[in-house]
Amino acid sequence: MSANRIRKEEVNGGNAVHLSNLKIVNGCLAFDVCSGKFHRISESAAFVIGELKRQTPLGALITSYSQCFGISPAIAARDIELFMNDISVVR
Amino acid sequence: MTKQLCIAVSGMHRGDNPQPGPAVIRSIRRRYPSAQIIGLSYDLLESGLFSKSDDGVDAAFLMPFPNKGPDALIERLDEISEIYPLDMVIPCLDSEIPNYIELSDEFKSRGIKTPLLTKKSFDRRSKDNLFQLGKAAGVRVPRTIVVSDLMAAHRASEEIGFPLFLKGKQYGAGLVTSSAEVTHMFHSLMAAWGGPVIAQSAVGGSGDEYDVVGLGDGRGGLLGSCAIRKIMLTSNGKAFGGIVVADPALQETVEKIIKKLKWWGPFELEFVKGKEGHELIEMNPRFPAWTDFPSQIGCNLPAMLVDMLLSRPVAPARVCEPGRMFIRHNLDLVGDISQLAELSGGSLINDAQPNLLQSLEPVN
Repeated sequence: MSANRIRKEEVNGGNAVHLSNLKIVNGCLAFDVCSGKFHRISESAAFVIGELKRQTPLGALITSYSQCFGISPAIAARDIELFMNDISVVR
Repeated sequence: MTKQLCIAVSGMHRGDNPQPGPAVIRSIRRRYPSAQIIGLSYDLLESGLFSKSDDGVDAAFLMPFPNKGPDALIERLDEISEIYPLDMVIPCLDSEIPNYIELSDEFKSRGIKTPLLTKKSFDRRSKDNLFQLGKAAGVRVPRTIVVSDLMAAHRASEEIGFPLFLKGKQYGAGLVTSSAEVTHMFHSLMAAWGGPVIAQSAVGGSGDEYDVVGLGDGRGGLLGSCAIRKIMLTSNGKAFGGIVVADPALQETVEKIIKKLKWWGPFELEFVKGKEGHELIEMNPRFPAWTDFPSQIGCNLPAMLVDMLLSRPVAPARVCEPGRMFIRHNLDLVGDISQLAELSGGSLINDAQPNLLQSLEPVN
């Protein structure tokens, strides 16, 4: 899983992206309503961003993610951690 | 029976640097489908004159260039009014506005409505005064130095630092990265548009460009606006595609400027996003060429302007939804040499009614 289009340097050109401004469109595009920037994202990234916007606790997120994509909770936890690092400027 | 509105509009060319006229006409016809539209043109080949669609004109007239002054303008409009009694004129080119401001009493005495912009507001937003306006309104504007000769242009470039933009007072701009480019750009701007030339610092940061179209009420309030990020640009930086944004910081910036100027009528504000937020790089005293895009999503500012000019109640425009976007689409229009012949005589009367799209206003 990767939010490879949401790179730190892209979102942080003086202005970090706020999670509340991100709108997931058709499960494949993250649109920042504030900056007007949009990024293609994977299905799993859309899932995680959606849960983060709903303020799902990390434990519940790991559980639902592992169930949704049929992977072990350990792999799910690592995947989510890497993703969160990748979008750490998204807040 | 209500008299058919007769509205003259200028800026009829939709080339690679499109003018706003046809977009303004299309928007007006969304609310006033039976309005009679007169195109004011400076050239036989202005593309809008050949449109038979809802952005076309019922008649077109060749106009004296703005540098001929207000007397030549009013004389020509009087001639046109004898054939088509004008209710209002909506100038859509920056260079025309000073003549219209100067003629405001003349228009009033003739009962012709024109935007009620004041000279003071117009001057305060000009490129050479923009930096001071930014300071007064609390809005970031890139460092700007006004120059009248080549030596001064070089001095300003050194002072601001490369890269920077050199801009004509009303039109034209180019990025310069070295002294050699300063010389070339300065001479081309002076040759094309005359002096002075404005040296303006290039904005660092993401470099994303944002445009805002809006309508001021003349008392410091905003009747409606639409903010976009440019998602496609032409080689000269014009928006070829844009997407609506909802950025409270940008909106606040716009409101500060309009409040400070007590702006009356249409405007376009151009911003670049720098490291510390949006920086205002230009304010245009008219609708932009993309003004029919917000009209199609419920924010019909040209029609609101007509309502304002007719002293009709003006309902606030609908807020544009972020994510709505436009992509410009160029078409080939068919004309005939006979139209050029007719227009070269000074006017062109279109026999065929434009193919009006009835009830174009979006349905709630």
